[in-house]
Amino acid sequence: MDSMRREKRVKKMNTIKRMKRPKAQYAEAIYEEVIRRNSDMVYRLAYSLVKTRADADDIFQEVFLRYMQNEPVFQGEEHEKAWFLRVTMNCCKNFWKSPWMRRRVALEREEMEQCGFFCELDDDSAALVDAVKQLSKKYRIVIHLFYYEELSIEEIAKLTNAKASTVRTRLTRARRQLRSLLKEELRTFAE
Amino acid sequence: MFENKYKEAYDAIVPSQELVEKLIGQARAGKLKRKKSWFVPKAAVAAAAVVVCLVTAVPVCAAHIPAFYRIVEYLSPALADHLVPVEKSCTSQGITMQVEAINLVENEAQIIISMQDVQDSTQDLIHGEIDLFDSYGLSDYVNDSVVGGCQFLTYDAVEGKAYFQVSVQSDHAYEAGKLKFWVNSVLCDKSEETRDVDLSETVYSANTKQVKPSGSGGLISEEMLPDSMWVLPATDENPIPETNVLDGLVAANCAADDFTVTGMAYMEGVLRVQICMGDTWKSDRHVELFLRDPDGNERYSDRSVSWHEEVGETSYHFYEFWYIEDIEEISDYSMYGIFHNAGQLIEGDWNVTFRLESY
Repeated sequence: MDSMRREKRVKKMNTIKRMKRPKAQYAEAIYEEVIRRNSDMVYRLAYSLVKTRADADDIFQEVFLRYMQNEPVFQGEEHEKAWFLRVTMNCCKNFWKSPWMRRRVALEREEMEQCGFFCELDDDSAALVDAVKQLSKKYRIVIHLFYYEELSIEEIAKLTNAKASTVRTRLTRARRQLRSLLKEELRTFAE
Repeated sequence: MFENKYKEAYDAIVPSQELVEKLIGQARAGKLKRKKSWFVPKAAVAAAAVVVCLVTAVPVCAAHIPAFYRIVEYLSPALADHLVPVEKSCTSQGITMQVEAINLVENEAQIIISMQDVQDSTQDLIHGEIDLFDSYGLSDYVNDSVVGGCQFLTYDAVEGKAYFQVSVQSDHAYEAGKLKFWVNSVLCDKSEETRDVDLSETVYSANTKQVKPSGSGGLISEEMLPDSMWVLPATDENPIPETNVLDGLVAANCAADDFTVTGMAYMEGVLRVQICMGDTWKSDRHVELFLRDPDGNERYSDRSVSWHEEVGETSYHFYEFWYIEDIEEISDYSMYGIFHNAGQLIEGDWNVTFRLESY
C-alpha cells in the first residue's frame, strides 16, 4: 500500500517537475552522492545551531533520514542546497522544542568547556565559535547562512520565512553582539 | 576579514568520517527508510494523546502558566528554568508596568517585565515595539545596579503587552529580601524605514575638521585606517582626544527630528558617509548603513565615529561611517540604510517593590 502511494506521489512529482526519478538500482548510488555532497554543509549548520557535537550528529542523521524518506526531486544544485538547509533548520527547531532538550540546556556549557571541536581549533577560531554559540538561535541562523553559506539577505529571508528587513536587522544585531563579545579577538583578527 | 575568520573556524567543523560512512552504509542497506506501524499509525496515536491532554490538562495549564513564561521558555529555556515569579505591577502615565519574574544570582539579575496601557484606557501607547531608554534599575537596601541591558522580547497583541528582558549588575551581591525595580521612561512608536542613500554626491577631495568624538568603534582596529583618520591623543593643551571628520553640512542646516546626510567622500581608499541624526536626546534615532558592491554583496561599515554639535539648546548627534573599499567607479556601488526612529518619549515613575526570600 505504502509503495503504491509512494509510486503515485513520485509519478505526480515527476509529471509536475518534468524530471525523471532514477531507477531503483541507481538510487543507492545517488543517495551516497547526495549525502557526500551535502554532509559538511548540513553538519556545520546543525552544529552552529544546536551547539554540541552529539546533538549535531543526531540532527545530521535525521536530515538524511528525511531525505531518503521523502525522496525529493531537486531542480538543480541551488534547490538541493536550499532543501537541505531548510530541513536542517526544521530539525533543529523540533529539537529545541523537545522536552529532552529543555531539561539538559544547563549541560551545554559544560560540554563546550570540554574538548569537542575546540581542541582542533586555534585560539581565535575557538573564541569565534564560542562567541557565536552565545548568540540567540535566530542570530546564529542568519550569521551562519550569511557568512558561511554566503547566501544573500533575500535568500536567507526565503529560507527562514522572514522579511528581508527582519533578516537584515537580525544580521546587524548579531554582528553588534559578536563585536562586543569579541572585542579583544577582533582586534587580533584585524591585525 | 571577519568572513574569512568565520569560514576558517567553521571549516574545521565536519561530521566524523565514521558517521558519514555509517549513514551511507545504512542507506545502501535500505535501513534508513522509516518503518511504519502496520497496526495503528503513529499519527493517530499522537492525535489521540493530544486530544486526551487537551481535554484533561489545558484548563489546569491555562490557570497556572503565566503568559510571560511561555514567551521566555520559547526564547530562552535555560532562563525560564530559573525564573522566580513576582507578578507585581505599578501604573504611571496611563501605562502599567508589571515585574513578571526575576532570576537573581549574587550581583546579577535577569528580570522579565511587561508594559501595557491601563485597562479601558482610550490611549494607545503600547502597540508594538517600545524601548526603556536606559532608564531602569534594581536596588536593595544598600545596593544599586550599575550596568544593565534591555532586550525587547515580543509584543503580545492579544494581551496588548510588550515584554522585556532586563539584565542588571551591581557592584556587590544583592541581599535577598526587599528589592525595588524601577523604570523612568518609555519610548513609544518605534519605527524603521529602509531608504536609499544617493552615493552620486560622493566627492574625491574634501576638507576635514577636528571634533571631539563621543564614541567610535567597529569591526576593524583603527590602525587599519589611513593615519589621517586616527584619533589624536589627548595633550596638555588639548585634554580631550580629537578625530578628523568631513567638514560637511553644519548642524544649523540639519533637521532636529530627522536624518540628514551631511557629507560623503572617497579619500585614501575609504568611503566616508556622514549623517546627522538630529536631536537624539529624547529619541533612539539611529541608522544602520549598508554598502552594496558591484557583485551585490552588502556590508556594514568597518568603523564609525560619533560626536555632538550644539545649536542653542539643541544638541545634534552626528555619525560618520567608514568603509575601506577599493572603489574604481562609485556608480557601481549603492547604499541603503535602515533608519530607526522613535516618536514619543513618556517619562513616568514606575517602580515595584517585592520580596525575594532566597536565591
